[in-house]
Amino acid sequence: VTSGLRRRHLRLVLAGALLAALAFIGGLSARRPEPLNDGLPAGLQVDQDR
Amino acid sequence: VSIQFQAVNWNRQKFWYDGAALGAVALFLAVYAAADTLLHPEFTIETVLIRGLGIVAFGLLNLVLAIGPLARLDRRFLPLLYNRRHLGVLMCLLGLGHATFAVIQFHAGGDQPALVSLLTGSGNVRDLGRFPFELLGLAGLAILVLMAATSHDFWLAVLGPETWKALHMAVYVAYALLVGHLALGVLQQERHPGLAALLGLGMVTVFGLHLAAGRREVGLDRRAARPAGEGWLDVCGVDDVAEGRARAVMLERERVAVVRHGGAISVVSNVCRHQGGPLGEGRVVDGCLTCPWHGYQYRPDDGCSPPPYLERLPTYRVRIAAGRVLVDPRANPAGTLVEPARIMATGHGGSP
Repeated sequence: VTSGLRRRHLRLVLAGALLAALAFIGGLSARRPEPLNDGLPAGLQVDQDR
Repeated sequence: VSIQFQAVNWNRQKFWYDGAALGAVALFLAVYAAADTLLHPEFTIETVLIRGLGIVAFGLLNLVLAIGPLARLDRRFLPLLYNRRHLGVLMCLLGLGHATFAVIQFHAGGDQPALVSLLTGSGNVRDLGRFPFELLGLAGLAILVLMAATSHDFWLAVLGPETWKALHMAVYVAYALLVGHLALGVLQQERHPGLAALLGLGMVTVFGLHLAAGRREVGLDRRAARPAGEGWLDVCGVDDVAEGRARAVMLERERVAVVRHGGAISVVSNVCRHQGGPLGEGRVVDGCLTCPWHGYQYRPDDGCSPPPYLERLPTYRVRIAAGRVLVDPRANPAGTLVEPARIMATGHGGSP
């Protein structure tokens, strides 16, 4: 691989690592709201698969 | 090496490689499906397939990304590199299977067409907990499909090795998108710390291996050749290159491969014309310098592939003085015959 391509490769790897790390940290810090059905009696629960 | 394009140039090694990959994937899916069905009897077969295909596809993507640096760090991994493209295409097909079942399961039952539902579905880009993570997966998969579609040597020849390689480096963007897809998708639904640890471990392994391999490459580039007068560069000692082997050395801006063959030294470009493989890490087979990646061959004295193949490398003038290899850093046009520098019986000969 030429030196130019090696440098481009390095930049892309670093950009990919940074983006992946941000996404990972974002995912760890995020909190999805609790499901709607939590605490509801069976008769009032929503079919969340639809 | 081929002179004509075929769908796949099958050989014994590729059969074994693909057979082992398919067998391992099938075995994993069977074991996973059995375990998941046992642990979660409420799951439909589609749910099990979505999970299993997603896991194996992302696992394969980690493996595909690790093969490159592993092969740079240890030659024993080179056989994995030989047919890496088939592994990449298999990974893409598994990812497509995951996406197809997911779209059917989660988007095909509504009052909108499935793809419209996928693209306009619920989610909020300002809320990481409800981020439309499926779109990240779709974007990552689109890159993988583009790469799989252009993975054949036909596209390599049409685009040229540099453009083709640059295009295929988009895999790192795809990887980041798919990490986002998992972190904002499955990690929000199942907050088991083991899942997050597994994802983190994969990332650290992939990028750690890249950094280790990159460090090794930077070290090689910094070992610059020393001026030896009249424009020649002293690149290494004759004894630094074993008979039938090559060694990559840095000239002023680019690397060259110093090849020792038949008691003489030749110097050609280090960049294989196929995929930019490191010829300096190759060896001489049947009188030709052979690329360690896919076996492309070049005659050391004129840089030409043996007939009927047409690939040609730039060559360099070389001479030996006091046991040192001296190279003229001005490259000759590709395919130019250069008289090899003979190594004298004392081991450190001279040459014109």
